[in-house]
Amino acid sequence: MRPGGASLCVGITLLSLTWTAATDGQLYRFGKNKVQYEEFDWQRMETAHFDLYFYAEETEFAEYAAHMAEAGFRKIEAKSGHTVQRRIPLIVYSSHVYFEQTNVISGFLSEGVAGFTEHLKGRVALPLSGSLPEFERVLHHELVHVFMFDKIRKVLRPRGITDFRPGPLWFSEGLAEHWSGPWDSQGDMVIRDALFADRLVPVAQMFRIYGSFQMYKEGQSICEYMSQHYGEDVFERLLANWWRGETFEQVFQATTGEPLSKLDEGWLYHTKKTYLPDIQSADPPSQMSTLLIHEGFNLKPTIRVLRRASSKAVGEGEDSDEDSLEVLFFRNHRGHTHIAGMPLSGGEPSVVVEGERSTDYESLHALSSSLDVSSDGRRLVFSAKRNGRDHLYIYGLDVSAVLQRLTFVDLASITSPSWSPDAERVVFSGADRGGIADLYVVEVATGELTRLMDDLYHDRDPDWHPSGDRIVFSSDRWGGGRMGFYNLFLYDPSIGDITPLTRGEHNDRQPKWSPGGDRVAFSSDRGRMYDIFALAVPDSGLGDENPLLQRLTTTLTAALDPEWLPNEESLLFTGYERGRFNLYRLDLDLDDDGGEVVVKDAAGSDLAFTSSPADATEEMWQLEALEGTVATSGNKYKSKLSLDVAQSQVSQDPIFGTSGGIQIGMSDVLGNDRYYFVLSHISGSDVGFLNGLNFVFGRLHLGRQLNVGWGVFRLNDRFSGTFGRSVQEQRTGGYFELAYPFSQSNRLETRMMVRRSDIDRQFEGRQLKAWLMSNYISFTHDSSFWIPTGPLEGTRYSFGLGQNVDFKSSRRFSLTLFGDFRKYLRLGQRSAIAVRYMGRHSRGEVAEFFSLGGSWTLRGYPWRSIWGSNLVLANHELRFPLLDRLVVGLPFGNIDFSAFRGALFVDAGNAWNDSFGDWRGSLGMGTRMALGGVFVFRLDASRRTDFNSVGNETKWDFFFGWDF
Amino acid sequence: MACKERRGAVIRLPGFARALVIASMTPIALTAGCAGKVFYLPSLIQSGDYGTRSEARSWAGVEPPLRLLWQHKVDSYPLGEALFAGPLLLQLTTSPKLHAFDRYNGGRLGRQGVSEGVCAPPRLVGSSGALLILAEAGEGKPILRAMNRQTRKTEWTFVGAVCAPVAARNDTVIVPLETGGLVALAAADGSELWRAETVAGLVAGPTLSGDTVFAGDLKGNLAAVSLLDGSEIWSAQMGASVRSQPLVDGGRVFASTGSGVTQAFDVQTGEALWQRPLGALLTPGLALADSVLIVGSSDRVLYALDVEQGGIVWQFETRGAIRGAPAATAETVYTGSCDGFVYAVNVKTGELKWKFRLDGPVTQSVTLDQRAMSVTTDAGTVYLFGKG
Repeated sequence: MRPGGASLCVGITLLSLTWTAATDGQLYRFGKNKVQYEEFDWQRMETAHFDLYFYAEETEFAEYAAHMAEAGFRKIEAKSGHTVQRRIPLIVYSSHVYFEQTNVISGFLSEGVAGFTEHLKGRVALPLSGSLPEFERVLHHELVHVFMFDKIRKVLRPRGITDFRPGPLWFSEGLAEHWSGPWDSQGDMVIRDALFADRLVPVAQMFRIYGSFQMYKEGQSICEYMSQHYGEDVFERLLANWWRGETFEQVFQATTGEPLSKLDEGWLYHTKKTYLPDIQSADPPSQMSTLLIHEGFNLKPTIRVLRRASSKAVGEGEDSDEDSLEVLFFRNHRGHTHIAGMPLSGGEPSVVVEGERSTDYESLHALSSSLDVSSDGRRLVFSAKRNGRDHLYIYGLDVSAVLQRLTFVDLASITSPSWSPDAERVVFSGADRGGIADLYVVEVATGELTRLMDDLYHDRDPDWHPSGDRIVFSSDRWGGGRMGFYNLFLYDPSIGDITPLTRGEHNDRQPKWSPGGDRVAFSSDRGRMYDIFALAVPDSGLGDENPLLQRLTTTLTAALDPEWLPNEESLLFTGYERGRFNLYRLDLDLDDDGGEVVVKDAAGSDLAFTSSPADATEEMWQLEALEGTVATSGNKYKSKLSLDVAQSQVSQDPIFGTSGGIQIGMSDVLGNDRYYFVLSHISGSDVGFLNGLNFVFGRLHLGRQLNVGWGVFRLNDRFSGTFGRSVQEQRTGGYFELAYPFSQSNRLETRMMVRRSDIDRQFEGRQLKAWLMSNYISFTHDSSFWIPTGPLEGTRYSFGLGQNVDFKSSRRFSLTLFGDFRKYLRLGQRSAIAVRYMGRHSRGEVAEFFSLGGSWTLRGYPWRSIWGSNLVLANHELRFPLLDRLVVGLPFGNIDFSAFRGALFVDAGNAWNDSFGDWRGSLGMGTRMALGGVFVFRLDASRRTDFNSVGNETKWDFFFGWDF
Repeated sequence: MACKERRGAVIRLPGFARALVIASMTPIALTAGCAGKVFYLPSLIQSGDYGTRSEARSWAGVEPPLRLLWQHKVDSYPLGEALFAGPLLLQLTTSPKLHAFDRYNGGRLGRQGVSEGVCAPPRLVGSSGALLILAEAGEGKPILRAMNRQTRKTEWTFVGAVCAPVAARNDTVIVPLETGGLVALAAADGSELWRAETVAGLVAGPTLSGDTVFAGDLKGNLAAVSLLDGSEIWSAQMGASVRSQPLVDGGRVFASTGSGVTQAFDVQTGEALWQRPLGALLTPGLALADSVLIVGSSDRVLYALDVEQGGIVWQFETRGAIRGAPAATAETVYTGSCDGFVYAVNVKTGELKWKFRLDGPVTQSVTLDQRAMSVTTDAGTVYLFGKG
């Protein structure tokens, strides 16, 4: 995820908020919160080419990161033939949960975002997610973006080309993948699946999968092909020729002498030639096993053995084992990930734990973690993010409630918990605040935590042997681990010894002991794709003989997360097919004397199982710290501002005259400290120069959980809030505001403003001069789930009060109360019922006025046509899809309309001063079309009603903006 | 003439050279007046092929340590290396403008805008190098433009060239074609002499040696064609796109590919003699001196290969990518680097003899003749060094 111009968005948002604070027209705003749960003691380290920012807890990791960064710089320099001359700010986090708190960009970061590069200030930010080699690869990926865009700027600017042309996303991401590491089984998985499912997208239609993981992998595959077909230096030549065309097609033609369509044809043919023969020896998961669920994303199965409710005898033909089994798993079929359960014998999944809708389960880590049920079938263990760190949850399946929430202050992340056979302990992979991931065991009853190892290797996916005397896990703690290969190991809790179980330059993951304890099933790409293997592990250990290794699946795509059934005759796994993860059941056919070892490498030769060396420590890899130009201590971070946005504008309005101004936004490299300055002039015919001069200067500090802002201003303009009546006001003063986000969904805000005001309330024919103090306080909750046209699920509400007091004459100008409640009830995949209930009341000598009317409030009535110091509004709307996507092909390119949606609605409300009068209502239908961002076009047709009769005239509202 | 000259750092010259300066200044005064642009002077000293790198050459001249004679700022990144044109130094930039300087006193003689589509290092052809060949990639088909340096007018154009340097000798210009192949043009009027369709598109430009033209294309073909009529003499496959301009030395021709491999072939038969994988992106030009072949690389290393077997004799590491072709005398190799230095390295041992800190990275080739060495940085500064 490399949002271009992200800081520009920061700047605009910043300025709008500032203006809002200064203008006092906006009582509240919705939106989720990016919470700084941790306040870090930031440091700075200089290397030859980087300014590395890190915090005290990750000092050791930062030294490795510095070395990796310089090595990556040299590597990408050699590949690109370009040297970045400026210093590169590199911000590293020791855990993804900390990374998600970053203010370098304003947007929210999902778990799938491994790092980003923002191009306005050229900052790179990424977390360590346990694996140092994986961190290195992501770092190199981001550096490719840095080099690429630096090179493009250098090519374009001297030729007077000022519009930055980033090129197609598939190319920039594909090149970043291509240069950061070799093609791997994950890429094979995606491309083979797309090819065999007829979902492979050609270059000319890459917009269809814009931003998706498939696009990344197709881009990488295309770049691999380009390298083979045109030479590895083709990328350098493309970048050097970037000025020679406005489109990538033109640049490609100028560089290679061939049209882009030829690349498309060649790559498609090459892909088919490479992968189509595989179907002779492999099958997609659905052809070799049974698909358990047809809808959504479903992964990481775990079996629960139910206790029978009675001692009723098993009837004839009744499969007692199957009936007593339930499978629990992660599921996402409507945009939220939750834990679901389903009888193994069949049926619809039901929600066990609702995720991503409350503070308790902000994230369930479906991709990186797993679930486990205790042997008695009563407790489920999983990890979830809450308030900025991971917690271990013990969930009572019989009572459908959390029994325990275990919190470890020294751990930032927790993944893959596994019960001990006696259900008294849980082993899991945990990353400390420094980012190092090791195995831990917690005594559930007491919460006592034991760290099993303490080193820089990434240990994950532990599983307890049924006897309790050993733990199998996956780790990169061997020579090949430096290149990112994970093998299996055994841990003996009684003596703390670690013994290698498998060995080879491949990935062995997610091991699971069979119920009998004599075999380990695991997922491995040793045969090129991720498949399920079973390794016989005698109690006495591996010994000198090669143990029996059986290949249980031969998939075209991937088989992951094996889970044995109790009778060991079947197992469940996560399969990848048609771009989704889903659950499958595989019935095994294992002979007593074992099956043939049928593991083949890419060339078709048998892969012999390799015994592990007796002393694994001989092969352990180490990382280098950077020597030479590094200052590793004493460089406390100092906030140094640089420009985010600077723009100017002049406009001419027949009513308001000429206006013009500049606005400047600045922030520090971490995005925590933001300053902004606005200078403008409103040149109306009756406004002198000094009177028309406006300025705002403000600061917003986001580095702590409590956000603090202040500013000073001098404004002479017409002001009105979303619902306020516009007044001409000259105001000079300052403001101070605090916002405390409790969680991602909840926050408390308060604002105080002091100003000298000259107010011309033309609509009521009076002018006022006052020294005003305004105080506002509000509480806002937002747990909504959005689609391009607006919210589809969840709840939003805000309530609060504010007052304006003339403190010089001790007059209360106004006291205002407000409340706004919105609820979205999901009906289906893309349909919902949305309701809004809103009320406002203002009293006082100079009460505020609110308005209704128009597409955003009361449809069927003209924009802001109903006024009063009291307001009630009720909207009820059924939202449903019409078209998911409409692409219109034109000679100059495609126009992409996404989310064509419909609505049926009933609105009711009124605004009044002294007497309510009658309800005003409307009912009608409408359409919405999302063009991206705030550009959602809305067309509503409605008829007015007083709820006794319906009018005959149809009113049309055409406007823009998200659904409420 | 009391014209005000803009000078860089001017060094006092010994008597003989001063006489030459005076002699060369006279045409400037006569030709340009006080406010004119000067891009051409009749050369009083034979300077060979005006720095076109068409053939391998070991210079007997300027050895380190060198001293800075002058430096001048230009308006943008350089496009190609500086050209020595008799007493003039010409530098094309990406803005794009052509700058002219007096080599001897550092005087700035002129600055002229050229087509916005100029896309390859320029070359000098014709009598006394009077014509400046510019490759341009405009909105239409790419063209080649021959500009008379004296009049600054276009003498002729040729449609269909590709953005790669031409090769030239006296009255013949060898032009790589956009559609693949080579064409020979008469330098005087641009008329076509012959056309050879033996190769695909080129990026590195052809090389002349004797009566043979050598060129490598994007398909990996290295071909030798007759300079007289364009007929193919031989063709060899290099396995990847040919990235460097071929270099000819006696019985061998050398070239590098886009996959980082340098290879040698028999100049008569095209038989492959050796290949040396070096990795990374190799420089678009090679240099030759004292039986070693010098290749620069984006992995910051300057490699010296034995011309007989291709073994690495020595390697010299800088702190930045080496992008421009090195240049060599009989004893010294000069190269610029993206670390902002220009280096002089012992051609036999690879040991550093001299280096100079510049004001920015060097991505273009070094220009060298018996008297001077020039390098232009991406910070837009032209440097001229002479004997210390």
